[in-house]
Amino acid sequence: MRERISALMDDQGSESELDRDMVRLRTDSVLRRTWDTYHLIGDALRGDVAPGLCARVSERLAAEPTVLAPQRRKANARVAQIGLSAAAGVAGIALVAWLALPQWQSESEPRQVAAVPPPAAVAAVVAAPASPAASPVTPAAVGVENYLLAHQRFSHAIAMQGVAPYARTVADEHESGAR
Amino acid sequence: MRLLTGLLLATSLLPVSAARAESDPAAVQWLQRIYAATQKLSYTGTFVYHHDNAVETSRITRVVDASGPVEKLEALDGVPREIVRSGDQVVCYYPRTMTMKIDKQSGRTSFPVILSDQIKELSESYVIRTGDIERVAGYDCQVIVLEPKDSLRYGQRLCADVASGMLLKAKTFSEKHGMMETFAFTQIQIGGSIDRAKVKPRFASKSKDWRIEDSGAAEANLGEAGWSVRTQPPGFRKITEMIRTLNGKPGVGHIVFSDGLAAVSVFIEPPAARASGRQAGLSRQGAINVYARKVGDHWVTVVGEAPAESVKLIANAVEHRKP
Repeated sequence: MRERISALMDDQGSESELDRDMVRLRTDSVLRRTWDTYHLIGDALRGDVAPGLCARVSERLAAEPTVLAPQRRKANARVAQIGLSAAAGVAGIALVAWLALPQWQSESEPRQVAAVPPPAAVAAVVAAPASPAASPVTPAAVGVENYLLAHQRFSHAIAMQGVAPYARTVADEHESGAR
Repeated sequence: MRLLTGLLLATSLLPVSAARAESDPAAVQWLQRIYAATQKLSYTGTFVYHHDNAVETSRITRVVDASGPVEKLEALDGVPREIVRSGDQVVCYYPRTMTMKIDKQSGRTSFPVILSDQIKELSESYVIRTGDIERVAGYDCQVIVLEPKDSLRYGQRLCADVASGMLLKAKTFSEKHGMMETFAFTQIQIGGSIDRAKVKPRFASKSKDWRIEDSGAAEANLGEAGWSVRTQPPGFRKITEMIRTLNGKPGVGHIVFSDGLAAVSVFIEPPAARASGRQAGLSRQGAINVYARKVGDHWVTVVGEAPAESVKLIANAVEHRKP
């Protein structure tokens, strides 16, 4: 269906296809989001966005109040929104990936972005944080606490920050409970 | 398709290369100031560790007096824990599970020792420059940026108190992903009189019956056991290697590489040491990437504040030959 959206944007396809696509767009919120995203990207590439928007979005992000006890689903939705609005401000996909990325636990995917993906993959980048599968829970924290503890003292950050980087050694209850 | 051409153009314009830029001597001096301040200052404050979608708050106190420096980190969110560092020993207290983890590096000076040579070494992998004056936790701070010269390491944006050199904020970033993690004080008292009781572990008196996990780390030559790391990312060199206890199992090899800023640890676990149910592959927390793979019947786990690419490169270079 994502190919259909691309085709739709480029005025390709027959009238009957168009009707069918419109109905699907009206009823399918995921598709609608893809449609919006493509347009945002298109606008950004054509330079049809206010200058400095990207910087302003970043500023607003930085100024956002800190959520001390983030709720997973909510936080995901927020990032997804930011991802979408920010897309308008960037001449490209970089910021989309940048905003979406804190969610990502694997770095093999962003390379696909750099290698210029088809629009379907671009949409996947933007949509990724919204899916429940893209959990902000950091798998690294589970079961690697002991590795982090052992590693931390060799971090040169220690020489500059004292004991602070030990904050990384998030003791998840399961881990310390199991041992 | 028009859109694709646009994408191609946009992505090709993205990387801003710093490779040819030179480090600013004033910025290098600032780094030395930060290192010196970390050695000599006493302070107490609250700081946040922000990574991925999480923010964790801790209280940190450091007291330097005639008996040497002692630091304590106390987690204010989530699972209670305290970490106390004094001399070459780090002790972690976990009251919920009544566990005490001890990591002592016998036979070596407290690590890392930063010499001016090492700062010069830093300039080989990073362009170091000063930025603006900002405000952090009520203090005027100098911004110092360490921009990586390649994609094999992350960059750092530091903010240090103009008056004392105390580092108040450190942000790790990558060109590709933007901010990876941030450490920042939200409130801090620098210098003045700080009660030594503040660095005493709260659980010290109760912890007598606790379970103790001692790393028992001791320097060792893993090459003698047939282990080697064929290649490292440029700029990284071996700092130390040792045998330790990890996850309650002895005989785990630990090799550390560093480029002067980022460190990467290689853990080599004998077959029995690895808890079952763990999987090979990559995971990440903030700026820390973890990559696990099997080498023969050993598990190799590489942990470092470096991009996945570097962590994987090191992991895949680990070799074992029967000695």
